[in-house]
Amino acid sequence: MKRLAISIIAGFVMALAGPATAQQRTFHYGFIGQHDDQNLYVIEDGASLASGAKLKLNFEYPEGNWFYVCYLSSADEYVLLYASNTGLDANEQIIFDTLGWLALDDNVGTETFTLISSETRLEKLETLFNNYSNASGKSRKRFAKRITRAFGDLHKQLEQSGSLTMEQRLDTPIIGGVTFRGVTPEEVSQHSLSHKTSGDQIAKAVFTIQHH
Amino acid sequence: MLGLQFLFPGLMQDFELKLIDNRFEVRQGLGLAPAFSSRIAHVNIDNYSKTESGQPIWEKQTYAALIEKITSARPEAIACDIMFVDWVEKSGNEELVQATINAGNLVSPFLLDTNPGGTKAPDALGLDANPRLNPGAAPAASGILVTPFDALMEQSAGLGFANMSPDPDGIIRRVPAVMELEGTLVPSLFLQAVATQLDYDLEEIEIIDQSRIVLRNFPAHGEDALGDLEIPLDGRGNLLVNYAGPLELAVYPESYSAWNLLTADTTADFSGKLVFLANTSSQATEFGDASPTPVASIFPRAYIWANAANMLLTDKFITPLPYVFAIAAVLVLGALLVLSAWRLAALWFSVTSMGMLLLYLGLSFSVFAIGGYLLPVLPVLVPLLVLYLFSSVYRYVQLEHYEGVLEGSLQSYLSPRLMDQIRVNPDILKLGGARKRITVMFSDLVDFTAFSDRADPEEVQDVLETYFANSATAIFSQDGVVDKYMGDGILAFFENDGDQITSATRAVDCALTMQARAHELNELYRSQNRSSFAIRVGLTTGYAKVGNIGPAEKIDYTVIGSVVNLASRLQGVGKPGDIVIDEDTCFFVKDRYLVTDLGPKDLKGFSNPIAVFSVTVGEQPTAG
Repeated sequence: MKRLAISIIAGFVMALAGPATAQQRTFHYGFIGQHDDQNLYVIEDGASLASGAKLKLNFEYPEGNWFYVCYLSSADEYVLLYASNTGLDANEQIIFDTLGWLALDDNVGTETFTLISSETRLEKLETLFNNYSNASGKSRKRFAKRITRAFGDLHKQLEQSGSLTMEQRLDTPIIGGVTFRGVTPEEVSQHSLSHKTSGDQIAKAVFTIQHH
Repeated sequence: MLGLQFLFPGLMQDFELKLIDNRFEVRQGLGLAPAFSSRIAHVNIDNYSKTESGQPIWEKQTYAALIEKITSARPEAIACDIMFVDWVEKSGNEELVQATINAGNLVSPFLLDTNPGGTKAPDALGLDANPRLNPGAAPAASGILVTPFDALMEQSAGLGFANMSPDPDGIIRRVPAVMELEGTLVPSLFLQAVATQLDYDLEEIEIIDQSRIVLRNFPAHGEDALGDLEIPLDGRGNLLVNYAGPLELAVYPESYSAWNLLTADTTADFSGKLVFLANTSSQATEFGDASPTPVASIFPRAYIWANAANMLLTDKFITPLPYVFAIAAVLVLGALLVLSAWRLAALWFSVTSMGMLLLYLGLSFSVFAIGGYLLPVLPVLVPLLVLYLFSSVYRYVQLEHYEGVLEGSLQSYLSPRLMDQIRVNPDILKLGGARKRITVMFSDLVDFTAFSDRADPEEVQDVLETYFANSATAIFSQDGVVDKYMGDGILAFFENDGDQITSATRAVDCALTMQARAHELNELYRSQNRSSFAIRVGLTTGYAKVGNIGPAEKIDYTVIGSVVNLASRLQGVGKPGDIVIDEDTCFFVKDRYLVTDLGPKDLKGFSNPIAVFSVTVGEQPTAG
């Protein structure tokens, strides 16, 4: 009887999960680092990097989606690094973009990147970042708190809707956007994408770097 | 108390509230009001500012310029007690927002709606930055009543509600500390202002209940001295404002006229300070931006917020003691009062009770002045007063009862006339008595010992009761006093009325009545074949001590003197039915009654022979 009940519940869960899976949004991203000898490597989530280390963020998302890259520095400063939308309807085309090479400054601590791909525009988040960038002093701190709370609410919303998925490390990096002559997909290039994440209507990934 | 509260709810409450104000006055008079923190300053748009600027109503650009000016003096926070609502006239909004952005620390006010069906909070209010709060943890608001315009709200470093909690008499004695709106904690203007000043995270607020909240890790004395700050509330989520005193420069924080500051006539350094920006002009008072408080009948509301903020910065709160304290005080003091009612004499009971009530009243004023503790006064004093009155009435009823018993007891000894005199002048009963000329009567049954030996006890009792009753009636009818019953004997005495010597004649009249009644009883008993009945009476007149005499444990209203012994001896001289009198009695009655001289007699206990006379029963003297 107990087993039957479990089967029924499992059936319901699968039935509910089915349509959600069909509407899932997926995007890829990758943090690429460069050694002193110019060799490229994939930076893992939670990796420990020293000041001055170079890194580059690549990402690829479905056209028609709104994509955001938010950054929280080790000094608790927020920056909206990327906010983009093609303005076109989704047509299964993929947009590849990159933030270019960055170098870690001298402020040590945890650097947090939050990547969001959304079917709809996240106006509130954009307004908060806009006000945050305009604000000064204690008003700015208040906006920082509101942004943190907004991320928390988003996480909770995804969790409650059951569409929160863990970011996945790809078995081998893929190359986003364009194909480079002489580079095999398995090799790390400037355009490599190493991680994938999915979500229902909104997909979100949080990537941290321990900066020392 | 509950009964009184039910009967006169408003009256009791008004008195209690008035007593709070009295405590502020007394404390101020004693110079014990709390000092104002140097970390608070005021910039006031006062009448001078209005006049000098030539603008009865300041434009937003002027406000913006003022905020810029204040910002240049580097305050930690600016609490703006002026609400710039969304209005048709948008001119100056941009400048105001820019000034707010430049300040980066401006706290704006808004109003919560506590009536049902309030409007939902706009996003610009930024409730999402506030801590989450469980429903019921704090007084709830249903929505928003009035807010500043959106852009200003967005750029404010914080927003605090400016609702106040006037008491039923309209006086502001308390302000809400926090409220709950849409599941979030909303701070009052003063709390948000201090939090902004000290960079304090509202997430650290712990609401214990509506009587207490705790600010965890509160930097009251700087960031290096974090500690928990416990804020006592009134049980309904309100903070009782610990007013620093009347609005005087000597007491209140540094205040600046806005126009002087704006026109650079005044330079200021607001480093580390919380600056309250307020409209304190008479125009603001007309608009209701001033309220009566315990320390002034018209008090700018901004200063009420400043006082509340001052409490957080100085850790000087008013702590209302809960009703359980009142109950405990009533029980303890009530027990003492009952104990004193039981143990003490009426005067001392009254003195002790009143002293106890006054002591509690004094205590309530003292602990308020010294420690800021607010003791309930009427909830304690009224029950005690009721208890005192009840005890007094009970004691009076008891006294009346005892008096009744005592009077009843006295009535069997004293004549109604003497009883009346005692009622008018109880000093008659004072211990010690007085020397008086009186007539003493001693009466005795003839052959009573032989009669009591042979008769049934019931018959003896019947005879004695009849004899005593008849005798008492006769004695009282002549205003005599039955001193005591001794076996079959009666000792009675008759006092004189002022200077007139009437005791002897009244005593003889009494004795004649007693003999006449004895004769009737004898006739009756003989007709019933019972033993014969006769009495002998002895009367003497002279000086004796009359009054309450004896040890404290057994005091008698009695008579002491040789006249008593003589009366007893004279009674023994006569035959059954005789009334034997001494020479002094004879002197006073010989003109009224037929008196027979029996000659001198040797009497036991008297060294010389005593002249003895008898009154002839049934015979009256001839006229003249």
